[in-house]
Amino acid sequence: MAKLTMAEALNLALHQEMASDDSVVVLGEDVGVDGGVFRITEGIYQAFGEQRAMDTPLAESAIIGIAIGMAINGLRPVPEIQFSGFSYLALTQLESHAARMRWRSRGRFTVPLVVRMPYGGGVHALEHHSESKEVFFSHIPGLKCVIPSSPRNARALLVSAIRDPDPVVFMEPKALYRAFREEVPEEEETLPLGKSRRVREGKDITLISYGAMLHRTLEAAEQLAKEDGIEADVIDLLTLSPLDDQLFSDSVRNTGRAIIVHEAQRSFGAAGEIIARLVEHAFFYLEAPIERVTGYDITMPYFAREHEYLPDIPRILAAARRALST
Amino acid sequence: MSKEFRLQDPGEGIHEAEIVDVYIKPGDQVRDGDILLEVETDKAVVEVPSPFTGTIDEVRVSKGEVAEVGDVLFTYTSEEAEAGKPDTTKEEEEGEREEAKAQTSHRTAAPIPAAPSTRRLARELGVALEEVSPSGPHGRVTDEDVRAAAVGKPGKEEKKAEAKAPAPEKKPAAGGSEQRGKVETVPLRGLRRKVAEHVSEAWRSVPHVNHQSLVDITELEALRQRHKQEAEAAGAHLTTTVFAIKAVVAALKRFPRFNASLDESGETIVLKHYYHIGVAVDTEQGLLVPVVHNADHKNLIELAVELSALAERARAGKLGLEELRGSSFSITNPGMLGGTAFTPLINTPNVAILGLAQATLQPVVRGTLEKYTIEPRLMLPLCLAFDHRVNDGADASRFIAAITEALSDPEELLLKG
Amino acid sequence: MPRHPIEPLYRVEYLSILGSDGQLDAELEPTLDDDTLKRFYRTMLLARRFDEFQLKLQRQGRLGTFAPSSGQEASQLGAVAPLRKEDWVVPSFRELAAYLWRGTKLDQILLYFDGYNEGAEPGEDTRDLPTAIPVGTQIPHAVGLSYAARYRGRDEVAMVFFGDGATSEGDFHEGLNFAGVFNTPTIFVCQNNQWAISMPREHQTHSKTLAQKALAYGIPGIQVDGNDVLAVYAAAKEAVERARSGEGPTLLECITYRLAAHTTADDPKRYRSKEEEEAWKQCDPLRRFRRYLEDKGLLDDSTVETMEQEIEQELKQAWQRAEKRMAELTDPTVIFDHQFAEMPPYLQEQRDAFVALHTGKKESKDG
Repeated sequence: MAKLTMAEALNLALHQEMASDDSVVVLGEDVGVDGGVFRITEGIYQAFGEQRAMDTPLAESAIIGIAIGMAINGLRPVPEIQFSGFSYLALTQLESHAARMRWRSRGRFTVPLVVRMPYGGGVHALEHHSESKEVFFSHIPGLKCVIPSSPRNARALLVSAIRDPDPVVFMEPKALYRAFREEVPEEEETLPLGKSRRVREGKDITLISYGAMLHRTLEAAEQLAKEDGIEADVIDLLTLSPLDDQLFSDSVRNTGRAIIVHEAQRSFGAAGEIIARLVEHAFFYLEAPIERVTGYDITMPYFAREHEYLPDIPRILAAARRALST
Repeated sequence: MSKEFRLQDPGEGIHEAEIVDVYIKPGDQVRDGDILLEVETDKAVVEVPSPFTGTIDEVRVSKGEVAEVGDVLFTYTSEEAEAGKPDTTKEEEEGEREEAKAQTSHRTAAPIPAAPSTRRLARELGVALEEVSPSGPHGRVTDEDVRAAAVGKPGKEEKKAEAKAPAPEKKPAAGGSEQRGKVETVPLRGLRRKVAEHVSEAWRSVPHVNHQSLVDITELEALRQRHKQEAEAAGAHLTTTVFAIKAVVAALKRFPRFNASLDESGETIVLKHYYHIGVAVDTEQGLLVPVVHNADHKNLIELAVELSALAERARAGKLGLEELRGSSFSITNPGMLGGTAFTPLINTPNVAILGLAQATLQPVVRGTLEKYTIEPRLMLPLCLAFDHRVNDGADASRFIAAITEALSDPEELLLKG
Repeated sequence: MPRHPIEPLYRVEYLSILGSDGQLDAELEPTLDDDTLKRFYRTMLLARRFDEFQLKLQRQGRLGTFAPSSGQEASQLGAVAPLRKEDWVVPSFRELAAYLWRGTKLDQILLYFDGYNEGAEPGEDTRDLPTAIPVGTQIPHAVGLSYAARYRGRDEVAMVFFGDGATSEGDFHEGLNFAGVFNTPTIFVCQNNQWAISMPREHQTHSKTLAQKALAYGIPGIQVDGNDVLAVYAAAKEAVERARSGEGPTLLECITYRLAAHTTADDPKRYRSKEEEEAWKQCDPLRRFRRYLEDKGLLDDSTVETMEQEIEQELKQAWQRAEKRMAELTDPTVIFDHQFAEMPPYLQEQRDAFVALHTGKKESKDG
């Protein structure tokens, strides 16, 4: 097994899926000759040619709109939006067409596409390059929203997303692209969409996160164990929509306490939905108010101050300790 | 039969329309598709074609009027008698589904603060949160409060015990729980746990004051020895406790605030006009407090017989629920096991408990400093604990003096008790 | 280095074959057999009568809001007529004549405009996408559909319909630009019916024609008399053949007129004159084409009368079928169908609760 970065692992998934299925094509701005600005499509153009690695004009709506047409006509396009901050131009295509084509044609026309987009802060990028707007996509019925947290699960999830019969928005935490390496097997590996996983076992409090914030959450959990003798159960969502509410609800039914960590703004964020599910499924097991450790409800700050905005370990610890002392 | 033609919902949220023109009058013959009216909505002026072939009976609107969606515009008699054609003029159906009524009755007071998990526990144990005295921060009811309240309601927990999910384990305290040697853990189960919960509740919620005194029971002991046989013939032990019950009842009659309880709100003292005396019994499973009901109506032998039977059944685990309920005052007598004094814990919701420590022969000095005698006397230490919210120290002194008096003078006790 | 004109030097052509009274420019007459010509007329007549029939149903409160297509029959039918069954049609929301030519059932259309999902269900092997109501957003789909066809080495083409208003949308630009860049077999058919609800064509763009917008994308653009079915057919046929032979996309601007309201919730009297409407009625595509067929000896008053009677019956029966189906479509749970290929557990829970609500059972909830 090779130790790969998330960028390399995603690239591996694309290479392998394109080699095994000629209906898979990638398209987007600079994804061909250049290999993508984050090099996720590195070598695809050279290996599969311009028909399958389409360098497109700068037009997010058309990139997705065309991918929708390709998908209806039998292909499995994997369009890339260069930064999630530019995906809003394609929101109409995703909401009005990709997400509802199956429903409105009563299963006759389907749109199996995967929109890849880097998202999130922590890489000292320019304005519009650090946002976390996963709820834009998660709110739309018919659309799936997947967010990996490590090289290995990124690879496995991307393979599953490409094979999925429904449109998937695949949001890549760009802070993790090259943050660390992980063993990624050469042989095929998939992970089911719509299933979260337990990454740390504990009985005292449940910490729920995804994407880049998962790693801070895990570090906070280790600190709680060391300093407080508290064992946290940590859940990595992996898929935001369809949301797997069973695992975290089960966990909270055991621990009675929960903290949700994400870098997206707080109001109407994913944590709000998770808390609603917990109220539905685990209310009478709660022993303390559920806390959200999230970005503030402000415009994503420029990078000199982005660390002030992003959840960090002290904030996670403080929230956990408040919950535990209730 | 005459049918009604109503203003149809033209869609897009339009509720009313002005009648711009009426092309029909009663008696007119019209064909399907003929234009009957012209109406103007906020959005458009549209012609209304006839959906039938037939005769106009009555026109109910005129030019310039504003009609609302659903208003009858005219009535007509249709020539068509087609089946399967939906009747577009039928009356609006009444709402068929009646809203399901909420199962719970309306609450009149504000909600009791408690964690959702505590609410679940309360529901499982059959405890109403309103009846629990809260011990958590900001008046919050805790799991322990609920469990303590549940002990006062034996039966419910047993009933639910099997269905109940295991109680969440206690969290290790922040700061660590490192162990410095070999330990063994024994789960707190069954009666032991109930005792634990009950005494915790008493300890937490009742401001205890202890009052101790010595009573000379030399003569009482002589009396006891004299009548022991009779009691034994009746199958009972004539113990000091039996006399203590008698003495306590006499004192309670004089000081009714010790035969009382404090209501949940902490605002009302409930004085009991009955004398049900709880007597602590040590069993293998743990402490039980069976109740001698209406102790004031029973003579010493009767009390002895009843108490012996209760203790026996307690040790055999065969007490009925009624035998454990409703004490108005309690007595505990671990004296036979030794101990010069102790601080008993009130058996809530009682407001006082009398403890008997070990009676011992002691040199008692009588007389004055100039002229005294020293006699060996059998002295019994009395340990009263009382709820300071209901009684003060002076009350306790007087109360214990009454008991002392009764126990030291058995003739008096027998005559008056 | 003086200032001087550069490539491209561009010309936009206008094509018309039938005069305003149906007189023929024989030189340009497309080759079509008699039977096909008669079918053209019958389809256009059916579309017109169906449009009127639907309007009546809507005014009687039996049908929901819909977008009438009267006046645009020629520019719709003429465009799709050169297509093969395996070609793709990407409509906007006013392409009744195109739908009817392609085989959509009348009762399906009625069901759709009466608010039933089942009405939007495409036929078994149709390649017509469902209507697209967000203006212009369907344009890139045709590019993708035709790209995929070419990628697979199949010679199918994709034809997309949109109106004059849609040419102001970003997706119009993006779609045509992509088609030009990737040289896809796509035919862009603009139904320039002069009005985007209340906005006249000349306020939509300062461009003299819409066809000339193709210039910017390096693809051919042609303006056609959209009320002349032969001209539309001829231009579309040329575009389809170009696309099929790998020569790339074309933009067709059909000059036509929406004789009725934008939708049944609209009142054109508020923004345009009776005179204008009357003037356009003189160019009614049905009248002109009938004159041509009469001149050819393919149609006379009695054949038209027979046709009208058949169509009246056809419409009546379609409505009866639609009513019967609506009476049978009593299961509202279909709204949960096809949201995803596989229903997620939380959606299944919502569906269960919905079913329970409808069957009067009490919903059981996880405490």
